[in-house]
Amino acid sequence: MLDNSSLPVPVRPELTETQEIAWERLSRAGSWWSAAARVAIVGEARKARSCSLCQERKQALSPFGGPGRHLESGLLPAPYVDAIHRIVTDPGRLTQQWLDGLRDEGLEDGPYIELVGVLVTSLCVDVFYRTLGLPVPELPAPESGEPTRTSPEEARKDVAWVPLVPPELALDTVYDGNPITPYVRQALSLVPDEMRNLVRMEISHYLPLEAMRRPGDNAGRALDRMQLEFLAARVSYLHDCFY
Amino acid sequence: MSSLDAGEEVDLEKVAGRAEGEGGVRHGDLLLALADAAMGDSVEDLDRVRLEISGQMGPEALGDAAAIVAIFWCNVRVADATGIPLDPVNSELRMETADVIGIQRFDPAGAVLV
Repeated sequence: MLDNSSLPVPVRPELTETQEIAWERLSRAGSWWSAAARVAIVGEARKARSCSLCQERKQALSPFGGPGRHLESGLLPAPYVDAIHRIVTDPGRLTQQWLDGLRDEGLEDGPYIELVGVLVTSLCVDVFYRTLGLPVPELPAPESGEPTRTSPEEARKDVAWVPLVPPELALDTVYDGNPITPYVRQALSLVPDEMRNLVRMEISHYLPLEAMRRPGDNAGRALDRMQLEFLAARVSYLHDCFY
Repeated sequence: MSSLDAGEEVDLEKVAGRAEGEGGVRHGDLLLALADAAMGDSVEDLDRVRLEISGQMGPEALGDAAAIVAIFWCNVRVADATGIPLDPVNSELRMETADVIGIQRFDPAGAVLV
């Protein structure tokens, strides 16, 4: 279990609560992965930081050049390992062609989207801890249970590299009736539980969906809205992303 | 460029590291230094920036700043891993912003591992 009781600075309770919920979710089976596999995804993401192949590719003119083998745990199928390592270390140079290549090697969309959800959940907590000067939390112990192996049948592959659930087809069942559905929310809609978890993290770490649309609204944060956006813009800039 | 608060100006060149000072945002230099230090490998840099933010802006501000760094670390990866398009409601502003700070440039050597 995540222990947020000894953080070095005062942190809003809703922020620590969503982190604890998110961390606990990692230890349970999801829609497509077992609990052990979900925990393995987190471990693989941490390994990627010291993977020499990733470091070589990061410096290369093209990240898709030569063959190689990631520093990996051996617990996950190869295309998913490559996905984890590249999303962690070089996200700004991912392409649809790369993702299609992984599909040719056996990657499936449902497990991939859940992997992205698990990956960013663990990264969020790890980066928060590291930024505050703390060691990253221990991996949770996986619980028993089987994945449901289901995704919403309304999902369509249309505007993104992956299928999204159109809000107009499943507003109540997938989006919980909330009509504010930016693409960053729709992105994980193929696995609604991961989408909901990311929304909780987004609201507690950044802003509630409604406040995002009101200029100047900082939802009571200790930073004003300009400071929030300025910092967010720098993080995106450093990642070569302007979503 | 106009900021989110009417009447104030933010220098987006600062976001791209091409301007001095706070960039029109109170303590903007400290906040950007936190983002940079979180991306880097220097524990000393991160320790120093944390101390400065906590001292000048307060410990609660440091907690909220760390949360922003963490969640946007996620958001960029969700967007990059799924190939979602920009939302129509803000794509014009974001394209304008991207143009100002030159975020589409290709500079793999300038980026660092997490």
